[in-house]
Amino acid sequence: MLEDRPSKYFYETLSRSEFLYAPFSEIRLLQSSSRAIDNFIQVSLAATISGLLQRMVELQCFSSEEKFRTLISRSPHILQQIPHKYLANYLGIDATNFSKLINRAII
Amino acid sequence: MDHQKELDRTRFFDQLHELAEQPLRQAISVYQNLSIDTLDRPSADGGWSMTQCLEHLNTYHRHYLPLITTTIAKDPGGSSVNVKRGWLGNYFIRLMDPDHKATKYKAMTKHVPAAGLHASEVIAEFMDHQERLSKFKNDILKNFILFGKSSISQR
Repeated sequence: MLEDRPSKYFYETLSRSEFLYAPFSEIRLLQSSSRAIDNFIQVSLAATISGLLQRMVELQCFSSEEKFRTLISRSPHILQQIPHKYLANYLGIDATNFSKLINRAII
Repeated sequence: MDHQKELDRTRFFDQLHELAEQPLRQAISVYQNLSIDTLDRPSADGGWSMTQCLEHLNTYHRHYLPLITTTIAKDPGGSSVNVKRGWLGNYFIRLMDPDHKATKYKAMTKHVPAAGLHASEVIAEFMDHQERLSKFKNDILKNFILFGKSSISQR
């Protein structure tokens, strides 16, 4: 989307998901013909970059416990939807450490 | 579980997929969020704890999952449209089916959970196994497409 090149990576979903896609050329065409679509894409990209920067800060500056607490305060439901090993991986912390943190949170 | 001797593949793999998915969903939404004290507490009648029950199932997964993987690899396209079971296999399935089971059986020694288990590791391993079991349907489906025999519903 950003550079009109096929991605080197792909998503594997953990639950039933829907994915919308369109050719790059058609998106560009839409952007040039509709101001609203152009705005929508700009706002979406800004929100994505903002989210990525926030995640970078969390990964680089937060302790394991801070990362864990931020995750469960932002998305508490995720603990009941995803195997904890994937959450530990997402936070960049050891699975054993994650289970200690969760056990402390339960107590 | 269906007790028919012969099942068409679609039904067999749909059943297998659901049998794997249901405990996986249960483990994700409930077991992994329980405290270690709760998981390690013996049952009210003094029987196995939840950790020990899951470890008991893990011992079977460790035995059967590699066998299933090897079998699929040996015959990726599938040589038969239907899945057949012998009388012995059917007997054991019926024996262990919670819906039909009336008698309690003592576990074989090698499937009795060992001492000093770590609840979170046991649950993580249980979920890994269920995920692998659940993915078999997709592996078979992929093979069927590759070999031009697709008859399994994709969900």
